[in-house]
Amino acid sequence: MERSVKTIRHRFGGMLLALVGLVLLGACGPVHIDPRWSSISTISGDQILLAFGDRLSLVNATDGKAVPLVDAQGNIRLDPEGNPRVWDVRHEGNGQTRFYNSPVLLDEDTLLAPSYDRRLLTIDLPVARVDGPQRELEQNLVSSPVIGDGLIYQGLADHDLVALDASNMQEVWRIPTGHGVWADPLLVEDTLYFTSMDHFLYAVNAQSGELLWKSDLQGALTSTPVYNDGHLYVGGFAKKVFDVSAETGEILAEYPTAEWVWSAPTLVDGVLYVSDLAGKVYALETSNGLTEKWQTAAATRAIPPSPLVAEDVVVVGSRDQKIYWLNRETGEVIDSKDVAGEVLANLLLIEPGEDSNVSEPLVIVSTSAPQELLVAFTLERGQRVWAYGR
Amino acid sequence: MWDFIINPFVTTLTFLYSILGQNVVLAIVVFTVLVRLITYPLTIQQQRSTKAMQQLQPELKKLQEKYKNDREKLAQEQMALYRQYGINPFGGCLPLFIQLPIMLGLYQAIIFALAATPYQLIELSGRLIIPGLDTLVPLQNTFLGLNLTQPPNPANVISFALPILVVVTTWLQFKMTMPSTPPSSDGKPNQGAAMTQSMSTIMPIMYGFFALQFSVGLSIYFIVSNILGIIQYALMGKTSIKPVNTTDSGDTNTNRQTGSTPAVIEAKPSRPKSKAQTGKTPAKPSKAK
Repeated sequence: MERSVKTIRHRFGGMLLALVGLVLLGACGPVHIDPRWSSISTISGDQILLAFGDRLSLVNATDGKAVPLVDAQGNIRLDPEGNPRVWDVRHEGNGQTRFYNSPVLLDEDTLLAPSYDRRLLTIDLPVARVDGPQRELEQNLVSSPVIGDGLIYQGLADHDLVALDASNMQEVWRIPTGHGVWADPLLVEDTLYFTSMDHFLYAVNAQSGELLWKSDLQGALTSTPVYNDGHLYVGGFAKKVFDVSAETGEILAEYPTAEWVWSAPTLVDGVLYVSDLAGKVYALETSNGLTEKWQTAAATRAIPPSPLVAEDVVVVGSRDQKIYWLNRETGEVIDSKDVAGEVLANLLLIEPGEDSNVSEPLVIVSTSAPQELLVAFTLERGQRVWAYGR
Repeated sequence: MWDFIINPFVTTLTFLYSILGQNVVLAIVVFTVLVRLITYPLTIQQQRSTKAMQQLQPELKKLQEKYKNDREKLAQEQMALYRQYGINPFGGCLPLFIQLPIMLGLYQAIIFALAATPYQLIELSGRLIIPGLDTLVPLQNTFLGLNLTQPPNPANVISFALPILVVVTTWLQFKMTMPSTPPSSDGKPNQGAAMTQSMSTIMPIMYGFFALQFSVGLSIYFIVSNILGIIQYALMGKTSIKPVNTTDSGDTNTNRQTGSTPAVIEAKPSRPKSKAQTGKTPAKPSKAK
């Protein structure tokens, strides 16, 4: 008896040791469990659509409160316990649902949400429910789709971009690529431009899928090009920003950056604002190639989001858990504010208007910290207005 | 603080990928071989120390019985025994603790280099020390139709063969590297044996679980690492480990005081000098007068 008890104790000891090993592996080591990536967009007025982990939420930009779910008569819906319901969608699916990008509007009442677990989810907007046909693709999805002329253009995480019929989600055409398509495509009239990790910028006929040209940009590309007057501007892992002819794909000019450029540049009044993963921000004149106006080492860590440019400031968010305000003319850092988590996705600007109740322009920042998923600052003074967490 | 391990590892892996025909599996295999070679001195020290402790078990058992009512004295005598045979009782653990960060760094390097998610790819930036390797990122991540960045896919049967291979090779390596414990003379359960048996069951399952949850690329690393471990141990068994207190030349004192980590087989009382002993148990220590 004593022997068996001891044996059990020893076996239990072994299991305990293994568990300790697991904890060490997960907690003490450098093993990063992929943090949930938050991204934001607006679908109408001052309602912010937040995608974080496997959940989508609507948040009011005026006060940072969850948007209540209302019925056709405008009454707030109640749950079985009589509590008011809020607009919140959680799709557990196979337990692998993860959103790396914001959903887009398929039509007035339907959202199209690409999940990393290969599913294009359709969400009934008025009732906040995953509904309708769900298209399961053969690869993971990182980028958001673009919708135009009855087609849904969706990049796939391993290789290829597909065009699906918006009415039945069936594949219409496909462009093969050598690696994944992680950036949203850009639709300009009849031409679809998109980048791939295979180093190429592609231009295809949006209806037929015919390849018009592709241009080698010397490194992986994870950002959407910006189009202006026959030029495409895009940065990538070659540590360069390129000015490419939208007609032919020819590289017209290039400008070196300190590190990889993760997201799309921002073009305002002929000046291209670019951030890189070394924490630098660049302002480049585009009137004659790409000439430097200024560059600033703003952050101590990477700046994955695109710069937000409004009025006389440039606002950027960084992985160093800070938001920086830069003078738009000189690039000088004029202010910085702390947030609770890394800033990985693009910032939003909510301006006063007919469909918005905010009293002054707000910069909305999403962070990776669940307790502070959204933070609103005033654009001008950088004052914190509200924060939203779960 | 982990960057000083991860960054060189990621760079090496990417460099190997660039010179090995951009074959990521080949790069992982060669990389694992390199890491195994670098950590070889630690591995051999660990094995020898484990063996030494194993061989001392009968003596330790006797001490436990003799001083079962005096823990303090027991501890003193045990330490004296270790000193006498030039054995560091923690010699088996310390190399493991040194290897742990290397293993974790290696794991992380593979995760970053294959970069299955945006966060992993962003984490890769700035880690490639050799200029020019950026253009190779992200590495081509398919092998035999498998996406190396993803966990096993139910649609691909081959992907489930890998976790099974992980379990089998982990079990084999564990069986080989953990020496069998002689049964106790009094019939009581042997603590070491029970622990070893328990671990030899749990560890392969645990690694199999990892293989199911993490990327296929990591499974390849586990399998290659285990196979190399088995080969390494087999070679060590043939070339280094000999029965306790026997030497080919008959000179029992050759390595007596060569340092703090003598091979088990060469462990002998350092004071006073004793005649060579034969058999599987070490010489009974004689007390200094």
